[in-house]
Amino acid sequence: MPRVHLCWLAGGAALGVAVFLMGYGFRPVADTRQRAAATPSRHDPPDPPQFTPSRRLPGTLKQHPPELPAPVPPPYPADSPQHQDWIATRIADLNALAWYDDADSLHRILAELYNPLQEIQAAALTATIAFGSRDAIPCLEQLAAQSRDPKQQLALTDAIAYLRQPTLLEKLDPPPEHTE
Amino acid sequence: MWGVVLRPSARKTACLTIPNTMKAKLNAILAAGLFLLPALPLHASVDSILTVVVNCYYQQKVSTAGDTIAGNVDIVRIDSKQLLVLLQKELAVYFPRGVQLELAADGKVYVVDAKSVVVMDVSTYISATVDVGERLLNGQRNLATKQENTRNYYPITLTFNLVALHGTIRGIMVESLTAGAPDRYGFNITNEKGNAIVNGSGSFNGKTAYFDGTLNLLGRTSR
Repeated sequence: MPRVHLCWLAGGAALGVAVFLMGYGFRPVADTRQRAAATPSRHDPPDPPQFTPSRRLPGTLKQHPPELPAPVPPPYPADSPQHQDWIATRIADLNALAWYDDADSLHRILAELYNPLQEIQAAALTATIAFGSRDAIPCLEQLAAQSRDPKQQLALTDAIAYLRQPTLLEKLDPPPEHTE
Repeated sequence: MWGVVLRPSARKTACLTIPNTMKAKLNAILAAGLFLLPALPLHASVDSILTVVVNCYYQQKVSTAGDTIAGNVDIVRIDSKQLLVLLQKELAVYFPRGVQLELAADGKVYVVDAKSVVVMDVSTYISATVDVGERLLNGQRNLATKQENTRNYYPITLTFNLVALHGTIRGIMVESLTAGAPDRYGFNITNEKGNAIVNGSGSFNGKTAYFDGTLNLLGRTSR
């Protein structure tokens, strides 16, 4: 076999391995969650990795932190008429959660920062800022460090900077100084 | 000290008895008035949840030593939830958990609960001016089916009139309105999402303050 053919074969094999690895690494979060829900037994063989670049966003992380609940996956196909209505409802739900002060509400908002849908991610970030708790900062920092989307990184760092500032109420009623 | 208050639109309107001759004149005046109006909004605005995210800059201190003047500007963040807490403190009222600020189509601001039931009209302390007459419309609305997919631009002004916080912020609201096909009862579900970059001036805790930030509107209604 001529050397040129061998080179072509080696190149093709390398490309195949690269595509396989990319497919494994870029699996969307929602797919993982749906698959986990559909496979109750831990001993079932895992599904082969799928490469679905069209559904993945540049800044989407592979996994959400274990302390957060799983993001809610979209129940309808992206091209169905109910999909946009479901997104609008989810955005309204996230906005409503932002008006509470409990940790559970904050965790449910933060979980949606890992949602594969860009609209839900953006709404979750808006809700995180509106929630106004500094408890969100570690999660936002982790996301900013792992994100590969410059726009998302900028939005996250802006949100962190905003939340780090003192609040109006803290300035009006400063907490008593801690004395040992 | 808080109770359920009906919005003006939900209140019963008083009935007036008008003689027939006056009715004819009144109709003529109203008809003439329609031609005189420069611009009518193409649709009724939606009552929306108002989210305020604002930075407040104020002079913390200034000191002079010889020929040198040194100063410090402090920044505090203001959001809707803090405004609610401030309202509770200044008005000595209690709001249940999860309450929200709602901006009505007429510019009034209400505290509403999670089910959109009005808890208190706080327009005296926080009010908005929404200039729908100057609205710029981009997109399409079907007047027959009320289906809509538009982006609207209009000036918005929000005024704080609290003891610790006083001032006005202004900006251009960029509002997306989508309304689907009528359901089987003939109602259209309308979704509204708006965002305005705002700035303004006023006072914080008695000190001159400047503000910048964003106002977000989120509304969903059946009409």
